[in-house]
Amino acid sequence: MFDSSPIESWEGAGAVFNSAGSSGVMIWIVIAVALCIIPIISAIRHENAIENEHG
Amino acid sequence: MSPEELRAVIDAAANASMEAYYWWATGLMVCIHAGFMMYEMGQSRVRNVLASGVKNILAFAFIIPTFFLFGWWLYWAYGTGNIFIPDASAEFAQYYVPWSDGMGPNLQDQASGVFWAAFVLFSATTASIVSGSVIERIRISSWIILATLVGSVVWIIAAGWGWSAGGWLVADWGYHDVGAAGVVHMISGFFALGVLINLGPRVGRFNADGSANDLPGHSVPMTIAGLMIIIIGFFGFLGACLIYPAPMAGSSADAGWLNIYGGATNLSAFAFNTLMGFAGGIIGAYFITKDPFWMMSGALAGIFCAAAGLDLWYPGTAFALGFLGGVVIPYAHKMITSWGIDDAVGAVSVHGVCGLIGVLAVGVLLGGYPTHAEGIPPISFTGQLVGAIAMGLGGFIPGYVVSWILNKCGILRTSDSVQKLGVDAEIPVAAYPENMQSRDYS
Repeated sequence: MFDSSPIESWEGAGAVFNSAGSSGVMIWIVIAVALCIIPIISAIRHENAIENEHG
Repeated sequence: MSPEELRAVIDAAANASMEAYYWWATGLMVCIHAGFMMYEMGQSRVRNVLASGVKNILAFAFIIPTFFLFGWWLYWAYGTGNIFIPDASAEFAQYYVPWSDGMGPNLQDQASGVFWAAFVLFSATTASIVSGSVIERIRISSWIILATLVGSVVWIIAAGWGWSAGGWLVADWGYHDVGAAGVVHMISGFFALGVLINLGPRVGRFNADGSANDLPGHSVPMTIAGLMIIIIGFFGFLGACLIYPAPMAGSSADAGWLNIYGGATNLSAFAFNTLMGFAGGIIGAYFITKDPFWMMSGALAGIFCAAAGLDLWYPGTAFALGFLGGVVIPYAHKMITSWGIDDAVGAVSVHGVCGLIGVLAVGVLLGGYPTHAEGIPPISFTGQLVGAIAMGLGGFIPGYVVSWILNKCGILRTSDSVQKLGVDAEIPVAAYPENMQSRDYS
């Protein structure tokens, strides 16, 4: 995950993003999914708090 | 320089200009969202202004990662003729899974990133269309879910059906919708209708006898300026509906500009008809209402009524269709309101109804035009009617079903007491802290 270069040379390089072609990408996908879902849960909790406060 | 070297230089220049074209078209499309945000904030009362803005910003933000994670894949998985089940074995569906080499910086692939970006902005547009109709009473959390649904799932499946050259509507019915009257505007308008039925009206919108009260927004000038900025953005949107004539691998694009189906067209065709539809919509709405809100909504309506056939209309026809859109929208909005549905900005009328007019107009007036490839039926009224039904139901059903579920979970609608207080109670800053107050209609 931290030693993530997919290339050893720029000559003829294709995908150059970190962890390209390795399972490290899946970790970032899981993180991205979590970072989408957690704020929605946070929003629901915040809205519920406002609703409870104001009847 | 050898002929091969010369060819390599030409290809490199063409690919770079193709990237630049979609990059700037994408940037221009951000104006759609800036405009929708102004429009919706202007249409909101003072106590709801920032909630409307936050809702719009978040829709845009959530659609980008979700479209990366699954939206772009859905387009390619529904572009090979399947109606309900995605085709995961399709070549580009395999290439565009979010963990593939094509979904990130890749020195051998100059097209994927900019095409993806343009489609992200199309997606965010679908959510912005729905966004205005539900202002002042939808909960932001539910809105994020619904925006993601319409922007990263619903419309892109419809695009696979009716925009991809291999989609079932195109391949089986010759469906023609180059400017997205159906795949974006009908889908979004009818999705909004499904949501509005479950969401219910704003507090104070209807009286006990069923008559409606106007709930005017706090800034008509902001609304009108926002609508004009949306128009600017649609030049990016419609320009990005074309395929740039770069020598991409396996493409016949060397021949010149192509429409979304791979058929021949050019920017001039889109320029003639976008502007003529735009003007017709304004004049039609002015003729009926004299109201600047409807005039600028008419500008959008005019473009959408012409959108499906932007590559083929005689400009006078596009003008007449635009005029028709401008005339129709206030009446359609009045009819929808008479059903007890509170569409705060007329999105169902402007996008849903005018998208429908645009799709059917192609069937009525452009029947018989040959399509881009052998074996694909020519344009026909039947094909456009099938497309219109698919787009109407394809938008309405998911919007209705998912908003029904959210309503049953108790997270769809802001309570009446918070509505009376102002939905901005959920926002930690005030829009106009010094002196502006909402009139109380409740």
